Amino acid sequence: MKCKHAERLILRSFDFRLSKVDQECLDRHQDSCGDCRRIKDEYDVILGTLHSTRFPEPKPYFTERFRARLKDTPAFDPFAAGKAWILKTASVIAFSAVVLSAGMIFLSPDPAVLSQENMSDSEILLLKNLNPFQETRTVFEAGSVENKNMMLIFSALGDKNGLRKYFP
Amino acid sequence: MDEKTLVRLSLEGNNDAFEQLVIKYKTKMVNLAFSMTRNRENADDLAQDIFIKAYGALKNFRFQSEFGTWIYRIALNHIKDFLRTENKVIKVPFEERYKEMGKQEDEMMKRERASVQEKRRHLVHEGIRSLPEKYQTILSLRDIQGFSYEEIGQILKLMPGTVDSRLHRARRLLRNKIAPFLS
Repeated sequence: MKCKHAERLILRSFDFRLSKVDQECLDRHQDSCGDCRRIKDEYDVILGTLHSTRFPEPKPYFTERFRARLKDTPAFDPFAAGKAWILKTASVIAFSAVVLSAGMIFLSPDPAVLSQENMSDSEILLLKNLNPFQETRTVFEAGSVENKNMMLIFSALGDKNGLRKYFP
Repeated sequence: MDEKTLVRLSLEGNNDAFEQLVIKYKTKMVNLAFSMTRNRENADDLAQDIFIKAYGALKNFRFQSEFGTWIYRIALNHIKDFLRTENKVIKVPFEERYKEMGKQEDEMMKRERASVQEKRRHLVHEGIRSLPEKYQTILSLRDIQGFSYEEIGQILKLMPGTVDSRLHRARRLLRNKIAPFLS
């Protein structure tokens, strides 16, 4: 038996939680191990000292003093638990509302940025209540086909959407 | 009258019923507080506070466990809170505190420690106070108050195996700390 295991058995023996077999094993180990005998003696002293602790009596008039303090304590409120629960819930809801609204204000994207990124020039003009065909009027009014094609090609160069590019 | 009936009557506003519970448990509460603080004044004050706290929390008593187990749980939490605030003010290692003991002790303690047994008792209790809180609690409940493993399990809400291993560790730590001073 290892000394570490023996120490566990020694401690169990103080609580009378040792089987007969374990007790015999421990006794055999202790006969041959001076260290474990010393450890057992030390535990004997420590636990014996603890078991013999003397306790003071409560000071005089303990109950009378308690009665006086009890008078200062507020009486039972049957709705106290409910009130506390409502207060807690209300504070949690208020906090969540503050956090959510702050999140919506600070984290939502700017609508102006959105419109500029995703809208075509004609859509932006429509939003500004302007005629989107004003720009294209010159293209339609161009005399020759070559000029018209050239104008369309150059106007498509600035478009971000590749699908809208003009290929004559 | 049985304890649960006394609790029911206390909940209906009968303070005499609660006083009967106080009379029954006052010595146990003072003993528990004394075993963890080693100070009679503090133990008495703490016991009073524990009963006031228990009276305020009586509506939370669920009648599933025994009143004794419930009040011990309140008591341990209250004493631990007290020790935490006390330890914030004075935090001296065990070895230094043991050396300084002679300078700080009052006349009564000097007389008390005249005998070897008293000296040893003081050493062991100082050793316990230097241990982590959970070990102090379990040693106090088992080796000073004499509770069974099952009762400790109920008070601390621990499995019996955990009680066994924690108690083993606590005793081993205590021995390691005070063995050099025992001789």
